[in-house]
Amino acid sequence: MIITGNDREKISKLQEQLATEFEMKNLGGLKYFLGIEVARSRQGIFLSQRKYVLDLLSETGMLDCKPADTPVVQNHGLGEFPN
Amino acid sequence: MAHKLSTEDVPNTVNEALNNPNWIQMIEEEMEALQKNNTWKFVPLPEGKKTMGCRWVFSVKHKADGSVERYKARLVAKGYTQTYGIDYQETFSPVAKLNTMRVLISLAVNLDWPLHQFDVKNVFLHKDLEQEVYMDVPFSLTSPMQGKVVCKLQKTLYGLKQSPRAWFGRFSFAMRRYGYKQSNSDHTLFLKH
Repeated sequence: MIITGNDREKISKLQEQLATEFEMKNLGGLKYFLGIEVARSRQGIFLSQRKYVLDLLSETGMLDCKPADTPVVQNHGLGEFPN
Repeated sequence: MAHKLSTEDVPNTVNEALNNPNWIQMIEEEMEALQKNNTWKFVPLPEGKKTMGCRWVFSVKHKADGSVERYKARLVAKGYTQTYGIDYQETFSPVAKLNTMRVLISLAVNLDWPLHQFDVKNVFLHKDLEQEVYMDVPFSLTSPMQGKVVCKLQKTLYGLKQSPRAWFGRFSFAMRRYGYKQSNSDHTLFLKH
């Protein structure tokens, strides 16, 4: 879960409340959520799905595959046209 | 890093896992958590009832850079053998919307808000199970029970059809009790002014 807001006291309060009934684990700043990698600096926030894609390639055994812009031949058509 | 991601050996069965101390330790930790949460009690199987199977599932969690973050062992119930209307009723549970996350990130950037991330350990074990479900006694290194006993589940174990929904209900209930309003456009968003 992500917690954000401009009221730091309320944020800590919520943390405390949650900890009274759930076994909470503080992961610190937001780093990875729903497949999105988050990197924060003073200039802004950088989002990427690099890890998500690598995990997906790993799961499907396609890590060694060559990248292609499109996975099928272009303008192939749906069936065969004899003439 | 591609190399690391693809060559990590993940066991398929408990027997395979027992060759590696990392996995043994994880099995023991998971078993401890299950016992601490009173996930089940040992009972003789009542006549006419059937047990559900269970199995250990192993996985390696990687950090964003591909290095190993931790090993994970989880006991799951074979929920696919459950019958709708008998072992469970409703199962829908919402997932956070990506758009909501983008809005939160945008707010954080523009208003300079902090972004904290939290995880709940063993989420499903926080909710009492309402249905009567019996499960086979799982393999463990220190299995104390012998004879004809089974596990009567008391908590929503991983793998049960009703577990995600039960957890979400439990969590929303808590958030509303803290005075947070559940958003109508995304039920996984809770707001407080």
